[in-house]
This record gives sequence, C-alpha cells and structure tokens, in this order.
Amino acid sequence: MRGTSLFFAVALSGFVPAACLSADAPVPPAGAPPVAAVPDYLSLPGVASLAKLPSIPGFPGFKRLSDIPEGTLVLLIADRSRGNLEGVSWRVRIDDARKAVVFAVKARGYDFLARTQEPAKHRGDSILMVRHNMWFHKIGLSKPVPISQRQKLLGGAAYGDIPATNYATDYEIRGIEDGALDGEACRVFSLEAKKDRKTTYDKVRYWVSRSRGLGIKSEFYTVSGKLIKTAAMQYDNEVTVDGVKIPFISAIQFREELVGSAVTGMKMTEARLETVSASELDLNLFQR
Amino acid sequence: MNLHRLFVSVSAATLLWAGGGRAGGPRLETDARVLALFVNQDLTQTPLNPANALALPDQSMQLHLRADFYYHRKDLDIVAKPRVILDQSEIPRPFPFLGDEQTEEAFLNEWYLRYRLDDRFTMSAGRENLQWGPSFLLSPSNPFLGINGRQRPQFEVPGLDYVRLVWVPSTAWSVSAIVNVGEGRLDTFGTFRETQALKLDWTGERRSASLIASHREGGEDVFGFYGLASLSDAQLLYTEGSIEDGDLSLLVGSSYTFRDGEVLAVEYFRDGRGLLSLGGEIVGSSASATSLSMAGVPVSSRDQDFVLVQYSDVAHQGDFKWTLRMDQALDDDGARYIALLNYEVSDDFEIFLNGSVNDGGARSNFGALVENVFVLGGKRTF
Repeated sequence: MRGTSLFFAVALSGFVPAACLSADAPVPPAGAPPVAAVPDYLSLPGVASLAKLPSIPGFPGFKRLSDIPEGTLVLLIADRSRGNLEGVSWRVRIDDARKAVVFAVKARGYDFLARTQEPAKHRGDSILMVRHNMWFHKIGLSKPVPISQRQKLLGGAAYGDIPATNYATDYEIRGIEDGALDGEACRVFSLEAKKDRKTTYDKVRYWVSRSRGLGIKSEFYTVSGKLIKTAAMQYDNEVTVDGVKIPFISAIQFREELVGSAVTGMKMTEARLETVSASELDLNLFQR
Repeated sequence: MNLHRLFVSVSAATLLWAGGGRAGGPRLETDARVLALFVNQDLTQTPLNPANALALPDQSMQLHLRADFYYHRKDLDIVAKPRVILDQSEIPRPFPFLGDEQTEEAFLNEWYLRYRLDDRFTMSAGRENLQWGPSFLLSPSNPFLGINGRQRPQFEVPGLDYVRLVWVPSTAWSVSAIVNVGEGRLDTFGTFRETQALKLDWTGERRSASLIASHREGGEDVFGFYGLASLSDAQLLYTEGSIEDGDLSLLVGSSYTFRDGEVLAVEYFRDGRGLLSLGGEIVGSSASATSLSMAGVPVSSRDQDFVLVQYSDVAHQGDFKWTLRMDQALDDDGARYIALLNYEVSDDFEIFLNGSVNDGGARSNFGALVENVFVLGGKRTF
C-alpha cells in the first residue's frame, strides 16, 4: 500500500482532521504520478461516508477504502456528483444553436433509459443503453433498432454523455498535476480508457476542484491525441446521500473542437436519487 | 360522426386529467397524432388476385386518429392505444356498380396491463406489438409475427394478444415466457393457433444474444436466435435466424454509422423456411386487406436468397430525415426500391413522402401483388 493511500484512509476515518492534512503529506515514490499535497476536499460534506462502504464497485480485490490509491479516490469522490449511484432520475434538456430536446432519464451507472418529452413530434421516442448496447425506439414504429455509440443526441452531445461518469473505475490515471481553472485550484488528471472497459472517450483530461471535489472541466481526446471536444460542468443540484446533502451535476456545456466550434448545452433538473432496477432497463420491457 | 366525437372527447378529457400528475407519483401521459394520407398503388395483374378479388384499392384518402394513453404507478402500467381510421378508397372491380368504398374503423390496436410483482418479475397481459431483433428486412427469429413494418412506417403493425411473464435477475440476463393467446388485430382468416415461447436474453459488454424456443399448437417447434456485437463505436455486426424441422433461415447484417450520423446497413438473408412473403406494401381499405398485407401471402418458396442495402439519416439532428433502401431477390431478379422522406416543418408538424417500386413482375417475390406504391401525407402531433 502506498503511503498516500494509508494517509487518506486514516483521514477519511475521521482520526485526522482534514485541516491538518497538508502539513505532512508524504512524497510519492519515484516514477509515480506527482500528487498534490493538500487534499482539501476531504473535509467536504458526505465524503466521510465513503469510508463506510463495505466494498468499492469496480475494485473486487479491495475490501476497504484505504486500499484505493489516492488519485482514484479523488475521482471516486468527483464521480459521486455525476450520478455514479444506485440510480438517479432527472430531466435533461439539450440545446444547440438550432433546437432543443428534453428527455426524462433514468440512469444507473453507465446504463440509462431516456424518453423524449419535447419537442412534441418526438415525444415518446426512447433510447436504452445497457452495458454499452444501445437501442432506439421511435414512437409509432414497430420495433427498437440497435444504434452505434457514434450516433449523436443533438449538436455536440453524444448518447454516452447522458449517463454517469465512472472515471474512477473505467480509466487509468496517466498523470496528475496541480492546476487552476478560472482561479480555482484543481487537480488535473490525464486519463486513458482501460482496455477492458468500453468508455465513450479514449482519453480525457479532467480538472477536479480541490476545494469542492467536483469535476469542473473535461477535454476529450481520440486515441491519437486529437482534441474532440471540451465540457464545462456546473453543480447547482443537490442530492442527499446518507443523510448528507452533496452537490450534483446540473449543467454541462460542450464545445466542439475537432470540427468547428459549435456549443451544445445540457441541463439536468428534477434530480432524484432512486433505485433503478434491472427490469426498468430491460429491452423486453423497453417498448411501450 | 360518432366515432370521431367519442375519440376527441375521451382524448380531451384525458389530456385535462393528465395535467395533475406529480413527479414520482402515479401519472398519466398521453400522446395524440393525426395523420392525413393519400395513397396511390399500381396493382399487378396476377392470378394471385384475379379481378382484384382481394378488393385492393388503387387510390385511397385516409385520416388516422391515434391516441396513446399511459398510466404509470410504481407497480403498474396500463396502456391503451385507440385508433380511428377514416378511409375513402377507389377499388378497381370488374363490375363498376360495386363502386368505391368508404369505411370508418375504431379499434384498440394495443392495450395491456403490466404489473411488477417485484423488482425482478413483471407480468403483462393484453394486446401488444411484440417485436425484437436487430434486422431491418424482417425478424426471422420472431415466431409470432416476422414482419416489422419498417418499409412503410406510417402504417402500424397490428397488435396481437399476449400473456407474458418476464424475469430480470440482472442487467445481463432475462427470461421471458410468452403465450400468444389471440390473433388480436391480425386477421388470420381462421387459421390462428396459440403459440408458446420461452425467450432467454443475455446482454454483455457491447454485445448481446437471445434464444427463442417456441411451440405452435398443432406440433410445430421453432428455434429462433439473434445476436449483436459492436465492433467499434461506429460498426455493428448482427445475425438473426430460426430453425424448423432442420430448415434454417439465416440473416447476417452489419451497419456502419458515418461521422455525420448517416447509417449504411447491409443484410444478407437465406430464406430456408419461406418466411419472406410478398404484400408488405399493400394498403388495404379494410382490416382484412390490411391484415393480409401484414401477414403476407406465403408465395415465396423456400431456399431463396435476398440482400438488403439501406442508407439512412434518421438521427435527431436535422429537420430532413431520409431512408433509401433496396431489397434484392437473388433468385428471381425481383427487387424492391424504397424511399422514405420526412421533413419536420415545425415542432409538431411534419410531412412525408414514401415511395416503393417493386420490380420483377407478377412472378417475383416483391411485385406479385403491387408494382408501385406512393404515400404522401402529413402528421400533426398534439
């Protein structure tokens, strides 16, 4: 176990006040990604409840939070505010320069069911994604059709942008450095999709606020390193986890970078944490 | 017009009631659509339809009133889809005094109750349009109704009567027990027989597969299957088929999504069971003629080969959506060329033009009953 992991685990267990953490942060071993010394986010509401988890999804070999490497733990904390939960339902509005679409979404991890609410002509059109298998059903047509991940929702928003992010489990951390965004101190992660995971994007550069523990900007890259698009996130929603209110994703603004510079907005409202069962995401019960 | 008044009254009352739904609580959702259609089709002179004994129209003006009602609460869904069709058709007949035909129909194309026994078990009963499989051409794995209506999207596939029990232990596995207990809106001309099926579905990471074992009253056992895999973020590879008495019908297909959202799909179908039948383009003026076209007349002999090539852009992005499709029969040189054009004029109104040219003549699979079909119309959503 790396020294930083042990240090985090002790802090999360409440034995060390978060305010004291900056003084003696250990230096990472040679060759490891550089790690900032001040984990301000450990004092954030609800973070301590992570330590109560009996196991961590995506880490079958780990039994305790203290076994999670520090960088991964930061991503895990940031993922919590992006819907990485047992289930969430919300209303998602997507706008580009020409039109707007509104979906009622039920999501669990990467899986989701989205039913179109607006505009009227598309009301009832539905998208189901389960384990990265995607199906589209147009109201009035007889059956759902499989669609590829490349299909876009609207403007620069992809289907893969609707569900939660699972950066902590789906990406390898290639580097961590200190940075700032609009004056806000951040950890900046260089992430690369794990080979056994089927992520929407191959490479991501991800800014996590040190004071808020929230992912506030992403840059998405192709395998060859070309910048595809950027995303800026806001967290004006709130959800309650273990009796503690935490900020929750409320808006993402995508900007195309590969072709043109079109801007697409995605707003999430009416967020509710609720258990979404497997049957609610089953293809046999998808059509209605 | 009584049917029309009843339809409008019920729909209006329901829309008013629906306004009171609470987020997360029981709620009622409604959709209403009105379609106005003009249909022109050239009938084939064929022994299959001597002197137009099937009473197929060559021109038709139709008004379709469609409402969908969804009542949802935590453990129960109730769905009803009433329909009214007003039709004025010109039907070529050997005796002119038989004249044209004007019909009014009101019916429930689908209705069902879906009850969630718990998070894993769901039971449903009623009339449904039960479709599955990844193919565009037809669904050879479906023992109940192999057609999917994709070549004429403005006309609904008839609902059949089913009882289902679906067990979903995880997102990876599900099992469905399905019994088709009645012909529903499909007129089988007195030949309906109950069919039972057991369907096993597996969903893996970017791939899925299903097996369907079915038994039709009277002794026919059919084993169906389909599978789907994502080769990349743009390319899908799929297969679908069925076996009956050692005769295999097998479809293999692939689709590729281009950067702008257009999709190119290619399918090859070896019809070992004589599943692909003609008549999918006929627009009847009566329920029986419509059902005949949807059920298909099984003139296609076994062991024939077909290829589908389809290029389409039906993503959400643009106002203009289109599908171009060619179905080529490799054995009789017959072909069906389909164009589906759709323009979204506003958020609640769209116009469409569907054309189908069936080449090959009366002895071919696709031209055996009608040569050309054109459908022009508009759809308003409320």
